[in-house]
Amino acid sequence: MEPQPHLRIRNLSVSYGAQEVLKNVSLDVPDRKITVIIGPSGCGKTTLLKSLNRLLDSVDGVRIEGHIFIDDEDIYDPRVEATHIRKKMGLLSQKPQVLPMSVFDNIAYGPKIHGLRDRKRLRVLVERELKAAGLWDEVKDRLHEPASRLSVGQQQRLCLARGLAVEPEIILGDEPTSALDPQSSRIVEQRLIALKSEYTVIVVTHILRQARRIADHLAFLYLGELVEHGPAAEFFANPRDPRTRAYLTGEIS
Amino acid sequence: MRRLKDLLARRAMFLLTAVPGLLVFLMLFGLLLRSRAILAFHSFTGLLFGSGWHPLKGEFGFLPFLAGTLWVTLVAMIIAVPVSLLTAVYLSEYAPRSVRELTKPVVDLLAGIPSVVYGVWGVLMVVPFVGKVLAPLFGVYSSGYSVLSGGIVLAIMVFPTIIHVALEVFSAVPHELRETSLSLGATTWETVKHVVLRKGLQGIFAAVVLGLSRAFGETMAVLMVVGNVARLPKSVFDPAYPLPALIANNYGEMMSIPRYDSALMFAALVLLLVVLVFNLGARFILVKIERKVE
Ligand SMILES: Nc1ncnc2c1ncn2[C@@H]1O[C@H](COP(=O)(O)OP(=O)(O)O)[C@@H](O)[C@H]1O
Ligand SMILES: [Mg+2]
Repeated sequence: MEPQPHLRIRNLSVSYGAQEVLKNVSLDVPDRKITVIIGPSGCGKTTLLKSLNRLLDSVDGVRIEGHIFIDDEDIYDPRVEATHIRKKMGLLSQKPQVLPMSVFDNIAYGPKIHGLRDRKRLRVLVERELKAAGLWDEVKDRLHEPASRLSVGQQQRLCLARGLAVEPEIILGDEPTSALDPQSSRIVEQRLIALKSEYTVIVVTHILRQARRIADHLAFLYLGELVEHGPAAEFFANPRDPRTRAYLTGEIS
Repeated sequence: MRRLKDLLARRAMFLLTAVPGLLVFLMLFGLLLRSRAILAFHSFTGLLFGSGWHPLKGEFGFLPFLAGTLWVTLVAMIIAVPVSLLTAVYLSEYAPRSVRELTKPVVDLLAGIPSVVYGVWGVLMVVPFVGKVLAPLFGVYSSGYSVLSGGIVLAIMVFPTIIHVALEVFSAVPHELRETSLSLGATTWETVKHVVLRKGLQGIFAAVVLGLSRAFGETMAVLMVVGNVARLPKSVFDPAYPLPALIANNYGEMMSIPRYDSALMFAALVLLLVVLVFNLGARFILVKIERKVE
């Protein structure tokens, strides 16, 4: 029997006002694999990712039911602090969101907030993260320029590096390549694949080809319902649900 | 035919656009022309920085009035800036949407209240408060008609301007940017401080300048509570006499005194210049922000 995965979603339902966006979703997210969530736009993929990160807390009129466990901690337990949960997850959003500060400060932002003040150690950390992201050679002379001057592709890699600088356990990507050119998309995809040896990765996409390229595990979300999920090979070769089949053949999109 | 219409429309609109700009120039020019009489007797700087105001003896020093304007404005901004920025931060980042939607029109309503009403309220509430409560607390005597009263009333009048513009600025900061900061484990306050305020820095600056330029020119309410004594104020509990109050109180009254009329024109000129510079600065920055936010 396999050991229990770190991240488990149990009977999660989310609604905005009267609109139920996620309906009773339960999913075990395998450790150190890339789990790709696919589904047509508006089916609740972003909502699902945000609920993992407790980013829905501040949304007006949202109602969240069910449980999400990281290890054995229920992240919606009222005693749990949202910042503590969020630190465990690195979020990569649809459009690269660089903070309004320098390249250096973008990386240093998280660690500083969590109490790292020592300048030398910050420098070491920034260099390490940028090198790991394959960005160092491109930006080492521009560390103190505003990050917004980097190309979009560089910005997205910077965002990924920034998320990793706070030492998360889980990486969440919400259509992380949708704003990028094909080449930058490949770089980001390869980064994600490399990262799965150390992290649990969840990526949302509506590009089936991307899902085929990077997924170990797939989950298909349709109209707020988790229709089907399973290992990638099986999912693509042998979809069980008629809706999954329709989606894979492009009949619904 | 259509092209002719287009041409005409373009010309007409250009003219309409040019009129306000032209008006300001005309005003400047007119005021300068009418100030010539006094500028012939005194130097520009002598007028600005002279501290004696004895029109009967032909002595026209505007320093007490300039100082009065600056003091009252400064006190108002010291009160208004932090309070209204914190209010805006609360409304945009912490308050539930219902509170925000309810407060916005109230804030805008405050901006529409005629300034006499603020003045009356100031006389009824602020002046006694400053004279009977605050001044004794600091161990000084004050009638209550003072720089501080003017500053408080003015601050309250400036709140809506700053809050309104700051709210616009905050709402231009993308929601995803806040989420980015939060998802790195930052608290809401850290996010506000390092991301929202920073991203909106120029806009906030413009909000403050807009408030400031309103404060500079505001006449009625301030006039009613500052005491109007043409002497350099030594503390915030002293009365003052800001430039707009000088003009409003005396225009058409003391015209028999030689060059008094011209001196008031000069005061108006100075005031116009000050407000103009502040407004141009604010516009310039706002345009820059619009470009940045797109
Ligand atoms: N803050 C919100 N308030 C109200 N409705 C929302 C909000 N965010 C998303 N929704 C709605 O929830 C549904 C799912 O949205 P989302 O999770 O963004 O889907 P996806 O990422 O799959 O495109 C959509 O119908 C959307 O309109
Ligand atoms: Mg989405």
